Amino acid sequence: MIRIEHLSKRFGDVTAVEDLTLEVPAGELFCFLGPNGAGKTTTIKVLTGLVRPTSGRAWVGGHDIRTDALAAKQMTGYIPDMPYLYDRLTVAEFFDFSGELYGMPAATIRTREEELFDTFGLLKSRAVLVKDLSHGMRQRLLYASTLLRDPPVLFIDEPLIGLDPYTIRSIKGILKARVRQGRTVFLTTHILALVDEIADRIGVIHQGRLVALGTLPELLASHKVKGLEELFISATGGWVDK
Amino acid sequence: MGKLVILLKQRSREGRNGWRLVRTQSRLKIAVIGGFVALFEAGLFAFFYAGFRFLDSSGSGAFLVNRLFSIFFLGMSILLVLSAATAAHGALFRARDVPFLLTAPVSPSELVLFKWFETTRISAWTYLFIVLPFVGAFAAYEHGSILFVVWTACFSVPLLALCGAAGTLLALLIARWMPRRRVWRRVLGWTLVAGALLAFAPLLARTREDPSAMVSLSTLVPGLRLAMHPLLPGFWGSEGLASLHAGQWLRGLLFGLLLASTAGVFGLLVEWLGARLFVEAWERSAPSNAVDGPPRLLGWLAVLLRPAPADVRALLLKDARLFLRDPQQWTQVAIFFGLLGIYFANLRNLNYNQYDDMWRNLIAFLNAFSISSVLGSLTSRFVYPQLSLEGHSLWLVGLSPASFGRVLHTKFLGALVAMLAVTAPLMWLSTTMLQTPAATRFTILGLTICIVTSLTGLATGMGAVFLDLQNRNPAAIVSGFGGTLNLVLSLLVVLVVILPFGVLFHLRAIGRLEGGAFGAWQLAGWGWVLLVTACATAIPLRAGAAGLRRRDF
Repeated sequence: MIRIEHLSKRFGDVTAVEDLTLEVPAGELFCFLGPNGAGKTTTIKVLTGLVRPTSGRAWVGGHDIRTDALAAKQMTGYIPDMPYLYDRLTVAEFFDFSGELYGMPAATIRTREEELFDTFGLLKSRAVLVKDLSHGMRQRLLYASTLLRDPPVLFIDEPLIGLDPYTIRSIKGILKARVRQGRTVFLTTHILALVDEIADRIGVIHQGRLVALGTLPELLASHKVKGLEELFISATGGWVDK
Repeated sequence: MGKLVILLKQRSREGRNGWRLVRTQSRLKIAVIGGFVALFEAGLFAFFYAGFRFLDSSGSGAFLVNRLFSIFFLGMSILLVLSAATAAHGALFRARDVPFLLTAPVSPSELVLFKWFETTRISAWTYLFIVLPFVGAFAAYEHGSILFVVWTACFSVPLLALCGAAGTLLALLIARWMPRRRVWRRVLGWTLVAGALLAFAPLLARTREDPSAMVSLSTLVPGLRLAMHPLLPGFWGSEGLASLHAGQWLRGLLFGLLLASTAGVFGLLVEWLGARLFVEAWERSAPSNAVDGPPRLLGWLAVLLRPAPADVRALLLKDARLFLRDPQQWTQVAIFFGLLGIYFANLRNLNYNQYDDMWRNLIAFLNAFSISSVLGSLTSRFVYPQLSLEGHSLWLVGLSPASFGRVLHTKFLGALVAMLAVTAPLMWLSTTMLQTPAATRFTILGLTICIVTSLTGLATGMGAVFLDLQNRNPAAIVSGFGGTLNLVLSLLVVLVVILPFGVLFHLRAIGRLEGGAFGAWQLAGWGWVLLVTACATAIPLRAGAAGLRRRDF
C-alpha cells in the first residue's frame, strides 16, 4: 500500500531524510519511531504531498506521489499533530466540507455523520464554531472528518495529543479495526506504550536514516534488549545498561 | 473546477458565520465602527466634491476633472496590484489552510485560483472604501444619475479581478524565483533600484525652472500622459465609464468587454502558472527553508543596545528579530512609507517648490497630515497588537524579573525609536523639497516628534488595556473594539495637533497674522500640543501597566 524507494529530502544543507526504502502492505499498522528531528514528520509530509522529495520515489495505493499526486491524495487521510481547522465553520459544516472536498455524495455524508459524531462525542457540538472548541475536541473533529471517507491509507502524526482516556481508547480500537479490515495505518509517536500495544511493525529513524525495521519480537532479539525503550535508545545510538 | 466551487462555498459559509459573530458583538462597538466608517466615507465624499468644484472654478473645468478621473483609476490600479500582491503572498504562502488543502485532492491550479478569488475579495474592500465616495462625488458634480454608480460597479468587478490576478502572478513569480541567499537578494534589490533610477532619470534631469513648463497640462497634472495610455486597464475603466455617462453606449460596452476579457485571460494565466509554479514556490517560501543567518542589521542593533540593561536589550532584540523575520510586516511599512518618500522626492519635479508661500505652506502641512495618518494606521497595525501577539508566550516575559510596567515601557521606547527613524527624515524631506522657510521646517519636525510619541504611547498603552492573548491573527486583534478605538483616537490626535498650526501658518502666509500675535499664538499652540502629547502618552501607558499588573494569566 505504501512503497518508498531510496527517498531523500534535503532542506538546503540539512538532510532530513536519507535514502529511505520501506514497504508497508495493506492491513498493517506501522509505527515510525525516532528522536525529535529524526525525519519522521518529514517522511509523512513527503508521502502526503506537503513537500516534494529531493530524490527517490514513493507510491501510495499504487499511485506515484509525484506524477499521480491527486489520485494518491484521494486514497489518503492525514491527521497532523498541529491541525488546521477553519475557525469560522461549525463542526457540522467542517465535516460536510471535508466530505465534499473528496467528492463524497451528500447522502453518504449524512449517513456517516451520525455514526462518527456519536463515536467521537460530537453530537452536541454540531452547531459550535470550530474556534470555540478545545484542542481535544478539534482533534476529535479531525478524526471524524478524516474517517468519514474511510481512506485506505491513514497517516497520523502523534495520534493522541490532547485526547482524554475515553477517546484514546476509542481511537486505539478504531485503528485496530481498520487494520483488520485491510486498511493501512502509518503513524509516528513518542508514546512507546502505544507502539507496544498496537503496532504490527516498527521502524526506527535516526538522523534521517532507517536504523531498525521489523516486528517487536524481531527487533528485541536482534538488538538483544528486553523492552521497547531499550530498543529505541540502542537503535538511536544511545547507551543501554545491560 | 468542482473543487474550486466547493472551496468557494466553504468560504461563503465562513463569511456568513462571520456576520453572525458580528451581530453578537457589543452594540457600542458596532456603533463606533459603523459611525467611524460613515463619517470617513462622508468626509471623503465632501473632500472629493470640494476638489471637483475647486478645479472647475480654476478655469480648466470639465476637461481637467475628466482627466483626473483617468489618473484616479491609474493610481487605484497600481495600488490594487501592489495590495493584491501582498495579500496573495499571505494567502498562498503563509495561510494556515494551505497545508490542509495540499494534502487534499485539490490541484495546485485550483488552489491558486481559489486564492486569487480570496485576494481579489480582500483588495475589494479598500477599493470600495475609496472608489464609492469618489464616484459619488463625481456623479454629484456632474449632476449624473444613480446609473453612474451602477456602471462603476460593473466596471469595478473586472478591474478588481484583473488587478487581483496581476498581484497573484507577481506573488507567485517572486516566491518561485526570489533568490534564497541574502547576498543575491541584495544584488537583485540594488539592480531593481538602479533600473528604476535609470528609467526615471530623464524626468529627474529635466530643468524645472522654466516657468513656461507650467502652461503644459501634462506638467500641470502629473501622470496624465500615463493615465491616458490606451493599453492600461485604468484607462479602459475611466474611458468606459465616461463614455456610458455621455450616452456613448457602444464605446462604453466595448471598454467593458475589453476589461472583462483581459481579466479572463489573466485568470487563465493564473491557472496555468499556478499549476506549474505553485508547489515549488510554496516549498521555497517555507520558513524552515531559511538558508541565511541573522541579518547584519540585528548585529548592529545588538551593538547599539549594549549600554541598555540586559532585560531591555533582550526584549528589543527579540522584537526586532520577529519583525525582520516576517516579510509581510515590513513590506507593508516599506510600501506605505516608500510611496510617500517617492512622492516627496518628486515634489520639485512637480514644481510645488515654485508655488507661492501660501500653497507651499498648505502642501507642507497636508504632507505632514499624510505621513501622520499613515503612521496612525501603522501604529494601530503593528504597535497595538504587540503585547497580544506575545500570546501564550507572555508567560516567559511574565515570569522574568522584569515587571510588566518595564516591559510595556521597553516596547514603547522600541516602537518610538523605530517610528521616529522613518517619519522624521520623511517629514524633513518633504519640507526641504518644498523649500519652506526654516521656521516651518522646524515646526513641522517638532510636531512630528510629538505625534510619533503620542501615537506610539496610545497604541502601546491601549494594546495593554485591551489585551487579547487568544487571537493569533494581528488583523483580528486590531479589528476589535480596542483596536478601532485606538485608530479613531490616533486620527483625532493627528488632527488636533496639526490643524492648529496649519491654520496658524496659513493665516500668517495670507497676511492675516503678523509678528507678535503670531508668536503668542505659536506659544499657545506648543502648550496645547505638549499637553496633548503628554496625555496621549502617559494616560494609556499608565492604564496599560495597571491593567497588566491586575490581570490573571
